[in-house]
Amino acid sequence: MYNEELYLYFRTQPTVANDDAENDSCLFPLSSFAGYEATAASGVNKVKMYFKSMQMHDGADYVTNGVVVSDAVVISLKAGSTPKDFIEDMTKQLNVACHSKNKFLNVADDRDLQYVSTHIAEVGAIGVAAVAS
Amino acid sequence: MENKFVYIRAVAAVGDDDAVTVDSACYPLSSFSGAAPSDDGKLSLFFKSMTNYDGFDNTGDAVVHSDEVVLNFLPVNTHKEVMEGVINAFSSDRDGMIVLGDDVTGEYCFSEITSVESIDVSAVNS
Repeated sequence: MYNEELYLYFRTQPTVANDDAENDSCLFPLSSFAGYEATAASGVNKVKMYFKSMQMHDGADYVTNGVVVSDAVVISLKAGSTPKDFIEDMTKQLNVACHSKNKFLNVADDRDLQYVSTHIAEVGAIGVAAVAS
Repeated sequence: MENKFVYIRAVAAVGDDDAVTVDSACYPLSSFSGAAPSDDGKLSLFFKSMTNYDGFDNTGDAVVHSDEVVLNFLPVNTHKEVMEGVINAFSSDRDGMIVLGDDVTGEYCFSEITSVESIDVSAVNS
């Protein structure tokens, strides 16, 4: 039985020797994807992709009365590309990838300069929420 | 995906395989929640908590967080390649148990994986 899940990879670290922490690169199941949010800074369009927390998956924190929040990956877009352009392209690419046997989808990699959409300029911050203890 | 399970064993001697927190564990693949680097030659894989699955704790004011499996690999800083190798194993047409890493038999799902560093299964809340 084939695994139908797709897994999305991101890397914001351009130097491979420095790719050694959770905010340098990450991998999420597509089933953890929670949504896109359009953001912008200094005229550069950005899209934030949210995923169900990797380290607090379905978790809770009653010790510190803390919160469980989504992880997020910021995608910076090329000049002239809009969040809608990117989301439309991303949706097409996800549908193609879902029907492929290869379930590892390299969405954006600032080291190898490989991007699944021509609208992507680079990966911004990767935010993997810390584990509560 | 419902028929796939991920097996990990972090002890080198089968006679020591007797505790869930560090020795061995098995998860439904559907509990896999993501992966990220944890050091130059270490990759952390996270799974939905085995012992507090969909749980909460209002009595002990405890936390519910993911379980963590750490794999060692060489060459260092090839996290992307190891992640891809792991996903290829997850996505193979094999049914049943996928051996992510087994330090007793030396079986690993990807050639760059050298050993299982740790298995952190959260204690059950009470």
